Amino acid sequence: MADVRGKNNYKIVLLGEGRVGKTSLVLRYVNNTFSDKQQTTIQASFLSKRINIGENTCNLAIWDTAGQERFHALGPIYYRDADGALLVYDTTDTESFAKVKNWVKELRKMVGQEIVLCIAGNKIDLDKERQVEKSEAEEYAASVGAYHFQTSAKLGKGIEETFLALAKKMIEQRQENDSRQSARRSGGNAPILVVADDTSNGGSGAASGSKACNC
Amino acid sequence: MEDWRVDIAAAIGRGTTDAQACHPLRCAPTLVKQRAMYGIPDVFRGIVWQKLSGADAMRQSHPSRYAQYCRMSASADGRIKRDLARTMPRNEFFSERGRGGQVLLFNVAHAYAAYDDEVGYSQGMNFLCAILLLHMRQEHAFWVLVCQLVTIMNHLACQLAVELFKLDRLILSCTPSLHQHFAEQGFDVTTFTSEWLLTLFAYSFPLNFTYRVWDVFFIKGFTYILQVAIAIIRQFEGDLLALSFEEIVFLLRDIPSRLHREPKLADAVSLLFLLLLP
Repeated sequence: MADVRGKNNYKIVLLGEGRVGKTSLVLRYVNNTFSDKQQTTIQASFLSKRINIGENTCNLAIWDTAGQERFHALGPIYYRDADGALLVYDTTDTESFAKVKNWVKELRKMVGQEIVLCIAGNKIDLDKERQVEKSEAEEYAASVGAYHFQTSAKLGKGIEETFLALAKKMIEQRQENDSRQSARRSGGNAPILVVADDTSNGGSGAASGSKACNC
Repeated sequence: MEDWRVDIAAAIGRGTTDAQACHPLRCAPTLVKQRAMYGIPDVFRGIVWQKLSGADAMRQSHPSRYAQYCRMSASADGRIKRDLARTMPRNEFFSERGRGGQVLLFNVAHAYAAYDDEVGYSQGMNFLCAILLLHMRQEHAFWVLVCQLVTIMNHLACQLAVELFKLDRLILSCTPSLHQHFAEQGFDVTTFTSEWLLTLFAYSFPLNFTYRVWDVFFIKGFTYILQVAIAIIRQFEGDLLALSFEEIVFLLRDIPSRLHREPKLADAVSLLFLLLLP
């Protein structure tokens, strides 16, 4: 994916049960539009957005997937080289939240810790019908090291924040990985450099330091 | 339309254009097939599809079966309901929540899920049901689904990747330069055309276009769907060759709405279809 996987390009994949509002979230974020006459998504689609974070401009390649179980097997095609995943559930539907938990398990198992996870509880405009409590979802998200946001694609609430947080974390993660890799390449002299790099990134120096020592 | 009647009348050796005599079901099946290849007039379409798929005969030999399936319970009901308002929501027939077309759509999908426990309901089927329901009564639509479409759906459920691979190879042999361009851009055509195949072009193409494809599909089967996909891609070959990954994705996704917007383009693509015929 020469064009999409460049230096400042980040890939985000949206996962979640059918009808939770994945497509609507992306369309609101990228085009600032909303329609309650959105068709079922049958295949994955792709939209991109350029954002500025501090001095960096980065391109987000956002992959929207189909939610139904039948297409579950296609998941790996989309998430395998993703930098971040946005897992969406419907706050008025407990089952969709359970599905998010399954996705988290699968992603951690298949892709590991390097993918940035963000969980979004969508449809907060339907607060009267709420079934998933905010505190419960937040607690869960924290336990798996994911961000949690509440959104409404209909009202345009919480979406900028969600993608911004995801983007920031992906940039951080990539810098960390890059420094780790260069540390590996530069062999025995590396550890000193790595420690310096990692402190500036705010933590996890021990982890990458020890990896660098191993090589 | 009148031509169709006249032609059929002439071909079967009657000097009449009387609607009853020229009714498609009274014509020899081979003739119906020949005619259907070039497009079925809208008023005959529902009935010809039933004939071509064999649904007509099946329904007559199982008169009360549909009602039985409607009464049975199906575990897929939740998933079916979820998609009702998300199937052709801009079409007036399906736009009213819990009424009209949506009720019929539920009935047919439910009956099918009850009939075939293993497959039940899968997304994509809703669009197939919708196209049928625009042409025939629910019971008739159910039988066409059973006789013609379900084999395809089952086939695709496990063989979609194979069909997409075929499509990729067809592009390679028909237009190698485009195939190479896709590869250079890291564009995987199979990622963005599965919806064309899964819904047999019912997802977002103009309805008349979809009907036209189905007319021939009922005769030639799934191969024709692949041929149409290739024809569409070739129509846009020149444009595609100049585009980057992202632009390719946008162009492909925009094709249905371009056909809506530019009737001339739709005509050009339809002409391509004629070239596909033997």
